[in-house]
Amino acid sequence: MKRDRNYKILALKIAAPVIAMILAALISSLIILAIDKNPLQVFYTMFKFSFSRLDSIAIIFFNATPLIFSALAVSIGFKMGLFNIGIEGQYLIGTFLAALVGFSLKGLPAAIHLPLVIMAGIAGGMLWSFIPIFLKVKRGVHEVISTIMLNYVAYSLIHYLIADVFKDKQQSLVEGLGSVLVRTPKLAESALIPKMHGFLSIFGIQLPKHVYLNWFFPIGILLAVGIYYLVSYTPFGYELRAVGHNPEASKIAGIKPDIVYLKGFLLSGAVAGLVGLSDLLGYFKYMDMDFPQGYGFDGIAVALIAQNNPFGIIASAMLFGFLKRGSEGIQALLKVPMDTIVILQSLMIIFIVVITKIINDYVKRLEKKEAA
Amino acid sequence: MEEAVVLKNITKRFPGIVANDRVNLQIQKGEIHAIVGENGAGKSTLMKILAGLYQPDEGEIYIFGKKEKIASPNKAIELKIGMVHQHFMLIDRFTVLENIILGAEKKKGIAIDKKTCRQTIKKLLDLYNFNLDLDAKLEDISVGHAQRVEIIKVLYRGADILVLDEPTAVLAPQEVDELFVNLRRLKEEGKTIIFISHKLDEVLNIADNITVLRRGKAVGTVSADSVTKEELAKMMVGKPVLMKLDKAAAEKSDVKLSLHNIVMKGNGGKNSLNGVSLEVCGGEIYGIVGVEGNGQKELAEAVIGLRQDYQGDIKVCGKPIHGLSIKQIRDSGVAFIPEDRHRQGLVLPMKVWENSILGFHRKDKFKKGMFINIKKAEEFTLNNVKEFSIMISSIHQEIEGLSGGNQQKVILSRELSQEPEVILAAQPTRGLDIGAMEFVHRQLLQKRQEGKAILLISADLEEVLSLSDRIGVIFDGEIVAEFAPEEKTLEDIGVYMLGAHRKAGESA
Amino acid sequence: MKIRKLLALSLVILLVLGLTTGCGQKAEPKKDEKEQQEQKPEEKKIKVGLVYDIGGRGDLSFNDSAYAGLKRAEQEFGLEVTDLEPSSGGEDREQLLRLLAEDGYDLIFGVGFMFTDHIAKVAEEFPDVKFGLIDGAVEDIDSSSNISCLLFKEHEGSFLVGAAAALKSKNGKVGFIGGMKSPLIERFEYGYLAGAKYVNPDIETFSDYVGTTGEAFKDPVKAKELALKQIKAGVDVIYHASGASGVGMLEAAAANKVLAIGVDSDQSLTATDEQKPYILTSMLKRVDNSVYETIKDLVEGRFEGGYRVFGLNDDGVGYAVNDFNKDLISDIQPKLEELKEKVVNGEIKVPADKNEYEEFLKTLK
Repeated sequence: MKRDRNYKILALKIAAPVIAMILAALISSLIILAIDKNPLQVFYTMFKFSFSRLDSIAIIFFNATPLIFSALAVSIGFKMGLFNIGIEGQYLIGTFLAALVGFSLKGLPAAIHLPLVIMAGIAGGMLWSFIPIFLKVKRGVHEVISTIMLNYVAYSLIHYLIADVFKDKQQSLVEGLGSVLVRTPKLAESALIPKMHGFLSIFGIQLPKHVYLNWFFPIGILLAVGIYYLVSYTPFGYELRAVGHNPEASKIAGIKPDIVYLKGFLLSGAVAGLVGLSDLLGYFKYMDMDFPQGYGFDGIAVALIAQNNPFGIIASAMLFGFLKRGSEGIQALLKVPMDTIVILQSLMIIFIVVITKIINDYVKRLEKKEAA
Repeated sequence: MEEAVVLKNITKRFPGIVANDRVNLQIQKGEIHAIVGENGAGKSTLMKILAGLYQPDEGEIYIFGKKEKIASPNKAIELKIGMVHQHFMLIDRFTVLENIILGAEKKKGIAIDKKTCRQTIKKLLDLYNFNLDLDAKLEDISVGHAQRVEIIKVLYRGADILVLDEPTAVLAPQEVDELFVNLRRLKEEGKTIIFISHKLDEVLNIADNITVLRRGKAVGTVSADSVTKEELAKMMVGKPVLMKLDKAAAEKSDVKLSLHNIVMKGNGGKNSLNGVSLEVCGGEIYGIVGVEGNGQKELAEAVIGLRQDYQGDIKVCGKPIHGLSIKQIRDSGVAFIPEDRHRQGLVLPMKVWENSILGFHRKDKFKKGMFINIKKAEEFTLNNVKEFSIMISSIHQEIEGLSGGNQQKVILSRELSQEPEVILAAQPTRGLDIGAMEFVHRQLLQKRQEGKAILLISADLEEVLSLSDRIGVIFDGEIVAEFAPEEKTLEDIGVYMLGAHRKAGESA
Repeated sequence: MKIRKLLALSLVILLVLGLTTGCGQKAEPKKDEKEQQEQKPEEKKIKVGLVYDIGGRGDLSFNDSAYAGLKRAEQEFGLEVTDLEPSSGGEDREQLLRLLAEDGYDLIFGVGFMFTDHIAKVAEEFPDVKFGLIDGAVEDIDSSSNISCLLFKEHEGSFLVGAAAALKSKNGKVGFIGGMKSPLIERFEYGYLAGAKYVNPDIETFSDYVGTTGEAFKDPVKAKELALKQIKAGVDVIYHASGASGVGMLEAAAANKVLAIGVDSDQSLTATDEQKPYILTSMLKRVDNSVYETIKDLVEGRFEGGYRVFGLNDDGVGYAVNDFNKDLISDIQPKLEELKEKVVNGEIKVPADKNEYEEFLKTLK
């Protein structure tokens, strides 16, 4: 009987995201029907477009990359019971500092320049996470409030810096007309992250040129593994979890929760500082006013679905990457309007988060009974 | 005589455990029937079945002679069964009246007809001789009064059968007496009372009949007049229990913990500690008793370093510790058994082995490079588990799943294994069953034998009396009396606990 | 814990499987397409795609104007057309362009200068596909390129509506509300201010910007607030270059019974009935014409790369006259036509940025 139950728990855990996706797809079908399209065709196209093309698969990996970093950063906060909603601001600042180091230093070898740029990104994220945690530890300001506020400050600050201070003045207006991009100068070649094309070609995988999959993807995977070990097997990770579950007991045991909060939040910020770098160093090569936003919030959803498990985060980030790529496909091939796609994506995400949560709670109850 | 409740062959299974195994129970109308048993014996499950919270897998329930199925708590109320929970389900901000009528308001149109409600409740209060101010906010009344509110609440809903779950756990001796007066009055009026407890003295005092549960089975029902405490304990545990601890004389050595004139500010301008001085020597147990909220908590927090905002000196083995961090104080040889295991002692969602090294996880013996030496930590835990006979299925189990006694043993083993000189034990047996309680007591006595200094803070008078070499009564942040246990009677101590200069009985 | 690992692993495996199967199939569909193209090139409809900027369709302004041009050409030449919209961050602009190119589209427009780099990249990958870039300029291209950059002298059109504003203002105060602060929108601003000052050097001018990001083009609430602020200061003719945000300004103007000037499309046509009487005119930026002309060139085999400038001289910019405003504007129309002539023949050089504007002001004194 006990064994049966174990299998049941296992099956449910695996089934959770699948059931969630099926339910989400069913509800979404109503919306697709409402715009006079065939849901089966839409989903078929979405899958076929996403998984039958090499470039699509690589693009899913590329899409997942920033979300892996973002969700890892969120999960570190969650582990110690803090809600870091400030990933958004932290990665914008991190990305900007990385860009600054990338375009202002010239003539360095890549082996020095690239690490410097990455360190600048990390420093930016840490800087922006230090403010809210300092306020929390010293003044008791709730981190949710301060991080949200600092997101806005970061947006505005970055825009000011790009539009007014570091705007690329080298761009010329042809015939004095049109408009130049409001962006930083381009980063030096030595600051850019290499793509994975060369490495993958060793295995006979020839990625098309327009794929931007770069080494930040494996870095993200390694980081996930590293964070898994850090949280599960080091004294610091131990303290992180202890404080996260019970700050009072931890304090009485001689752990200083404030110190743990400070270190943990800085770590979260450091990881957040890497969120934008795959796009910056592997795709845009400059930072403009339009630099992708929202990874911080998507990261929260990714972490929720993955229940803060680093390996789960990789999987759920891939899921988000797929949703994005798949919707490009149905927009271009089936002319599904963007608004519908936005609704579809949001529904999918909400359903998956809610349903996995429900199923996981159920599994938890089963496990509790098991233990009793 | 009519039977209010009859249970026949009630069986309730949970995965891997039979919580109630063919339990038979007969409760006469108008009696006070106690159900005793160790934690995990199945008392709560049985009562939850009666309250409609669980459904039995097998068996039949008869209420006032009729076979019934109690499918929901509402159905239980319909059958005039009322549950008074151990943790009050009341709202602090509401008045007593509002709390009583909440969820069962009499309506006049859409408005609550408070007047009618008040009249009804007044009648109840007069009938049962309850003393309650209906307009007081709940947050302003004492625990004993809050409990009366709970009782009136179920009576207001028309209950004829009252189930009280560990009602005395939160009360001072005088308050317990008042409760018993109330219960006897209820009995006189024909109410049936089911009284769940593991405090044998109380049970023998109040109950007419006593049913003992052990490991899900009803091992017997006895009349309170015909049984002794020792016999009851034996029925509960299944083997003879040493009721009197044999306390060998211990070698008293130097002062290891000393507090000198500790003053700490409390809420509302009143000092929570008002010049506490005491000394505990090696080989001595110093017991502190008092009604809860008189500074016990603050005292413990000052010694362990959780609070630094006090004046005065605390010395451990002669060295002042004011200003040291909790970690430094612990490293200087202070072990702490906190009063609230779940909030202060354990990290519930973490594993047994992880909880076993809490606070010592950075010690060199648990280190392997930058990682925790899990093998060492597991060995350490397994050793503790053996030494303290902790019942677990695996050290990788989350500690949440353990019984209270086993959780407390994990804390005890963790704290005592570090060879402390001073042991600060706050309510170390709260909520534990007799077996576990006895174990904790023996451990403390053994440490005393080994020459450690033990400061025991407990609300359980009997415990303090039987363990301590000296006793201090704390009232309003002061030690108002200090004596050896044999010098005073229980009643004398109760008077001190309620304030030496006050009239006894004016408990609030 | 183990189970989650398993889950992650299985997903990765799934993806890798997809990766390998993807390899095998990659080359095939392209071949099909080529064959199709070779077999029956005559019967194949010309396919034209258009990717909007963020905000997309329904801004009653810039993007809608491009759509109008596309529709007109579709009807006239029997094309197959598609219009797409990037996701809110806009980071998939490039992917959308590429997907259209892959799908065999002959001409693809990117509406807005944000497309500059993306079009440059994709155009290089698909040398046989033509691209139209509106408002942006890819550097160093000539007529042999497959990119045609469609540029507008917005300052010239703005000059005329600025003059109209000054001629109609009773308080001697005219206002301007820009969307995202950028050289492009500044051209609207300084052209407008120059036109107003040219007619009445003593006129007081007000300028405000909604913001510094693309969001500034879809924030009608903020635009309305700015407009109300200016109206409170006495402004009685107000002009915007703020895309969909301008709706807010139109509301504010109608509510306070002051005149408003629309932008890009003829906004009298899309405004509510309450607003119509207060719309003096609109500065027309004929994005629709540019889109239409580019498609027409392609259909007729005359497509040329490089830069194509639309100004007052070829009606690429202008001001709107319609049934709703003809009474309002008829008295100043002769004056506006006279000014237009002067701009076209070079007598007036309209400033396009701050420096030129300051120079321009000096010539007025």
